[in-house]
Amino acid sequence: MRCIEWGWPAVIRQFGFAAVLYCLAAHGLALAARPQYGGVLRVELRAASVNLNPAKWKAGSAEFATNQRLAELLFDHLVALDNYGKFQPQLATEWSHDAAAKRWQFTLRQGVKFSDGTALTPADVVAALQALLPRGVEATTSAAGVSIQSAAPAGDLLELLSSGSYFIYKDSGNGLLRGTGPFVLESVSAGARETDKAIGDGPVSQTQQLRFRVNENCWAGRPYLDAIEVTLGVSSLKALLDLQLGKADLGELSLDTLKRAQQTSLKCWSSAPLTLFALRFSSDGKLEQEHRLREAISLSVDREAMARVLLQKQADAAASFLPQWLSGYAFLFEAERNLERAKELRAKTPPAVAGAAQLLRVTVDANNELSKLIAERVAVDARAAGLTLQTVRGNQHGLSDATGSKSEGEAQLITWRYTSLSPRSVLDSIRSPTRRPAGEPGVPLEADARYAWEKQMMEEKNLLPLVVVPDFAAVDARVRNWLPSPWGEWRLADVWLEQSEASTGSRDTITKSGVGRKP
Amino acid sequence: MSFRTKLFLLFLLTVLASVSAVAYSVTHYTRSAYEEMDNQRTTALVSQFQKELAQQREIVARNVENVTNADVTLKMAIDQTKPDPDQSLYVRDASGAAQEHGLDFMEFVIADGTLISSAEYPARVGYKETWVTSVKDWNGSEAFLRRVELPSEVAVSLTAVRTQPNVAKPFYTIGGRRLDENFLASLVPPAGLRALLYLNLDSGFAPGDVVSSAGKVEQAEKFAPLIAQLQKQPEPAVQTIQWTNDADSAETFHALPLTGRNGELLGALLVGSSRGDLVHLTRHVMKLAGAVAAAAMLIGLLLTWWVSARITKPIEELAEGAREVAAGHWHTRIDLRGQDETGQLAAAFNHMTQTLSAQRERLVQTERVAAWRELARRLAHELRNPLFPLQITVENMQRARQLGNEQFLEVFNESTATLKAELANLNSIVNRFSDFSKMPAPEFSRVEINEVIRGAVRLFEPQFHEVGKPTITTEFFLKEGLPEIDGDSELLHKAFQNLVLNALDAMPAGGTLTFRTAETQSGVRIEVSDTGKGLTPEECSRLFTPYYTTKQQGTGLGLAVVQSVISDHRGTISVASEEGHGTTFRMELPRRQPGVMPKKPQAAVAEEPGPKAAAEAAAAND
Amino acid sequence: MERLAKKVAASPHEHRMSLLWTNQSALSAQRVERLRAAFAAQMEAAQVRIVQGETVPVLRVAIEQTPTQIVFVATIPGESSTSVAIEEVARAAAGMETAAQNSIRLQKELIWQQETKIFSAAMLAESAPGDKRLAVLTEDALLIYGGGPGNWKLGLTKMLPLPRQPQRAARGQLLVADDLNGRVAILLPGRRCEASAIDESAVDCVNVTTEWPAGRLMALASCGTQTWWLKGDGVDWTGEDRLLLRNAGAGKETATTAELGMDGPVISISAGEGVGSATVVVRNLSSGDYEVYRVGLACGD
Repeated sequence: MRCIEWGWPAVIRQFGFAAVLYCLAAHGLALAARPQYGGVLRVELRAASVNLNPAKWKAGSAEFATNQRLAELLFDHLVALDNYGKFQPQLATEWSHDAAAKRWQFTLRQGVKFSDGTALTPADVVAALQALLPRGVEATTSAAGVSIQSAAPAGDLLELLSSGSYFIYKDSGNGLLRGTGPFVLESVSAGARETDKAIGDGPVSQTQQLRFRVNENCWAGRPYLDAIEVTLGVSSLKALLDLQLGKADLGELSLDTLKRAQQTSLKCWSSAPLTLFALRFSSDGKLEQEHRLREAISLSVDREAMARVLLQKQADAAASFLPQWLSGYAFLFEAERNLERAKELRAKTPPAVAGAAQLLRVTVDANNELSKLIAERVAVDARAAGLTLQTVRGNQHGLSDATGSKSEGEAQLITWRYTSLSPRSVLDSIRSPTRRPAGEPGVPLEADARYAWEKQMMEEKNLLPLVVVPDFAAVDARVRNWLPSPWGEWRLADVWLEQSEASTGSRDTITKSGVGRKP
Repeated sequence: MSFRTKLFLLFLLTVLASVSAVAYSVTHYTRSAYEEMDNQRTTALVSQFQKELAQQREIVARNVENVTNADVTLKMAIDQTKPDPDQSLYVRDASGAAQEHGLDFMEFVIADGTLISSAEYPARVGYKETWVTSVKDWNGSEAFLRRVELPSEVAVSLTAVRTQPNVAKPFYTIGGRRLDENFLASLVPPAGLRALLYLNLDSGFAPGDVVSSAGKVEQAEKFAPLIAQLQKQPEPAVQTIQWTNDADSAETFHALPLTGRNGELLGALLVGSSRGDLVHLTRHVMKLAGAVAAAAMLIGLLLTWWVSARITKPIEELAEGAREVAAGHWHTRIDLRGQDETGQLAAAFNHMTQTLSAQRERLVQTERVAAWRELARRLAHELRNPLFPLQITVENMQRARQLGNEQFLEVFNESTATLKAELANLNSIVNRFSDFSKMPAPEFSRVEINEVIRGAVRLFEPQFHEVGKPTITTEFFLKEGLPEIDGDSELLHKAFQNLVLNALDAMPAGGTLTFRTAETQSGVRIEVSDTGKGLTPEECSRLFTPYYTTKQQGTGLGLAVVQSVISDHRGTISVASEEGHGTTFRMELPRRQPGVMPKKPQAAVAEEPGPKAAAEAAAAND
Repeated sequence: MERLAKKVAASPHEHRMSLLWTNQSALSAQRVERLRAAFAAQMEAAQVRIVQGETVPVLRVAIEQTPTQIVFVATIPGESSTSVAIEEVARAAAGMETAAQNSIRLQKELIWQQETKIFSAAMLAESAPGDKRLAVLTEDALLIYGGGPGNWKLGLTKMLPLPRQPQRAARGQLLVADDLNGRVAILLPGRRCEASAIDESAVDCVNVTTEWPAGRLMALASCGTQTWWLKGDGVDWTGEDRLLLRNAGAGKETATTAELGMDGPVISISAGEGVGSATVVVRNLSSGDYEVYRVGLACGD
């Protein structure tokens, strides 16, 4: 099997073990394939539900990724960032800003229409953006298009607008959103899916299926695919099986299933580390003894071993809130384990503090196996320093909640999804879980100041980063030209399907039928 | 207790003893048989468990060998022998291997003890399992019980370890099956038996660690003593547990310890045998025995009533007859016919009473004659004493007639004085006899006995300390708060006086006169003791006979008076004496009867007599 | 570098330091070295002594990369503590360079590259001896360059008629043939155009069903009379293709005689200078640039 790595060699160096991987199967010497129109791409995702209204998305939540990937099919940004660091025009063709980067001007592309046929206007753009822009940033219409004014220098405005939830859409009323994207949501149905009992998924579960049909009049050109069918609520193991059986073309994987997928003929992809796993404490940690205990816990955890061994080099150790690929300076934060120092700190902590002699309970999302594994590892590492931690199962919603809803234990193992290309925006969003007062000045734009700000946030020890984990997916060999971004955008609009039977690759099981659709 | 009652009790005891003996024997033999059968069944179940365990050991060992010999494992082992091997590659392999081979636990450990893959605790990958490297080659070793730490609990596992044979550095495969209630499900206990499993996961005892194939075990805390015993000494033990207050809820548990490689207690198989059947049987036997005993009692009651009616009635008539005789009805006759022993007994009784009546008459006459003779002798003796001086005095007067007038007058005066004294003495003797013959009937009133005694003794105080005479020491041990008695204080006074006089006579050289009173069940006890010369047994027996005296002078009526008074007061008097040590008179008087109205005493408490009156009383009692 | 140097100089620092310069970005080694030299010069100008070969505290500068920035992170040793200076430069402004690849029997030479999309490129007949001409087909124009590698000058620009409908993945192919009389044929989706490579005349297009060539026939007399078929082995535009050279007379299943790895997908293969060379357009996946190579047959090692 020839394994081809997607992306720059430098990207691989930068991301280390979590480099963007793209393993191709050995297809022999097939003819150079060129785009073929037609076919229905079948996508299986883990999320049980999706919200396609960008205004309702919660920064940092695990659901953000799924929402964003599907919203890409319907909506466009003003600008897009390519994989080479260049901003490409999307709905905006030109942009400029003043010297202080406080006033930006965007020229809108002409002739763009929403999926209902109405023309895109600057007012639509303003209406969509205003609900999403941070405090102190305002969008207004201008002669050329859209003007965005910021009270503070907004040197990272393009990063902001090209990522996250900054899609341009129009609310048609009745909650129906129209977009200018390559696809249109055709139908949503709830399906009952008989799960395979052999893999222990249990009884029949409800799944949701969305069908996106092609937007023939898309300003960027008609996509190659006729439609994309998305099935939600599919476990990664099931998705892998479906891929192998030819029942799906693209499926989300987990760390467990990635290894299995790599041993098949499927193409595997992993992103930059996009999900941060961290330990969040329930109390504000202003007491010295609590602070000392948290530092002891932080020093006792062997993040490198967790990433390298336990997560099989598919994750990176995290000693800061921003990963290396996003900030460029994450390596300045110390991630080394110091067991002796941890023991010293624990010895100085009174036994009454939870964790020192009493049990410190760490609530974990019962539905997230990786969270449980990481929490258990933290408990094992902490035990080596004489700290007693115990994992307890909790519900899902409370853990990625930025506002820190109540949980049973003294700490929670949370996940935080990086959903913006602006480091400042990400830090600002993380600020909520670490309980910094909202009235304090925002995160600085300059890298130096941002680094100092982040360092200060780390010192508070309300949130202890542990590891950052990429997204994983596998795609069938007949899926061509799939170029997802390292930061998780799937860009399914540029995909086409190889329609011939011979190119379906090796199958381990029954011969499939009815795969794809001829145009 | 009547004969009828005794007979009934005897019969009852016989029946009860027999029934008890039978019931006990039946119960004992039943219990023994039950115990034996229970032991056999328990042994069979334990044996079944051990066989099952041995079988599972083999299965686990075989499965672990299969994992070890699999190509995937060999590749893993070979990879780990290379320089700087990538240990992260195989983190998840143990989980798949465990599932594939039907094992609950699976771990792969490399030569230095580092865990590179774990199915049950993946979070521990990278940490050391030093216990496994202590043995270089595990191949061929038996599966053993082991304590396995899991993320949220601790479990017991039947574990086998194998070493990969085809690599330079040791590579260990550790696999096992969980020992839990599912393991018990493979056992099929006979009816009345059940098997529980105790997993010794904590240092103490946790009720939740006792499991059964049906799930949670109720009231598991009752196993605490048995488990504590096992933890102290991992040897088979037995304990009976009663689940409720009802005895038939008892269950006997045989505990078979399950130990690990180093002999540590990891669990125990508890085979419980219900004692309900035995208890029910025992109860049934006891109920039956009780019913039989009750029936026997009833039969016995009827039988004894009939038997006693035939036996005890004649005896009761005989007893009644004897009582009549004792009451003084010497002519009592029993009217019993029959030729059997009771008829003969009745005839003999009648003959006896007839004989006794005749003999009594003769005795009374003889005593009367003896008493007259005694009285005559005493009279003669008493009268002779004053008569002799009378005679001498008259003769002196006759002789003095021949003397001159002055000498005759002197002799005449002297003689007349003597004549008068002796005549007074004669008069006194006659009065004393007259007094005894016509002792008055007592007039009862409430009497406080201690006061009577004190009053009687007070009269003699001067005498006790008379100058020139030996001192008589008096001691009083009079219990206060004595119950009142119905009595004639004058007569009692007189009686106590007589006793004092008697005591004084007995202590010519002085001594101690002791008075004691005490309360008895029926009334009051009075003791008068002296430290005089004492009495012989013969003297004691005749002491209260009228006119019997041990003194040279005296009428012998003093103690008779005492006896008469005591008798009139429905009391008793006895004497105890030892020659040379003194004499004690003991009197018992009944307490005052309720409902009897006490008479107003006719005379006040006696005034303190003067010395002359006391002397006269003493002379009267000689 | 000047800003970074100023920040370093302004931070508490040792007076004599050695410099450790590491690169984790996509900047080429040459560029990184140039930056290092510039930084060292700036430090000297700020009177901070950078020394080598001595045991002194180390000033570490790491070049990192984020999706939009090149980040320079300096760790400055001070007397009692270590301080940090960070400087960011937009990647679009930083510029990329890549090193040339090694050659094999198939030899390649980079003759042109640009950031904007190239559909196809072909070497045209020389207008004058030594004056080569390169035709480059972009999304909306045909560009004719004159000169030579490293010295191309734009001669002609001919705008292409826009398609009726925007194409998501438009493509094009240049065809150069002797029978075209100095004209260049342009294959577009659903159209075939011709344009003069000499004058300013407009491009003529007709609607056709486009048949795209899959490769190019090549030959090298010095290596024999065989003809070779040169094609790329990629299946889409996401991987690094290889150019494969097969014996053209032997049928489809012939094994590859030579191959040449490229830095990205092969966009097109067109005429080169003679039958022994081809002009290959490749999109460099690392830099995103479109590169035009002269791929020639070389005989021997």
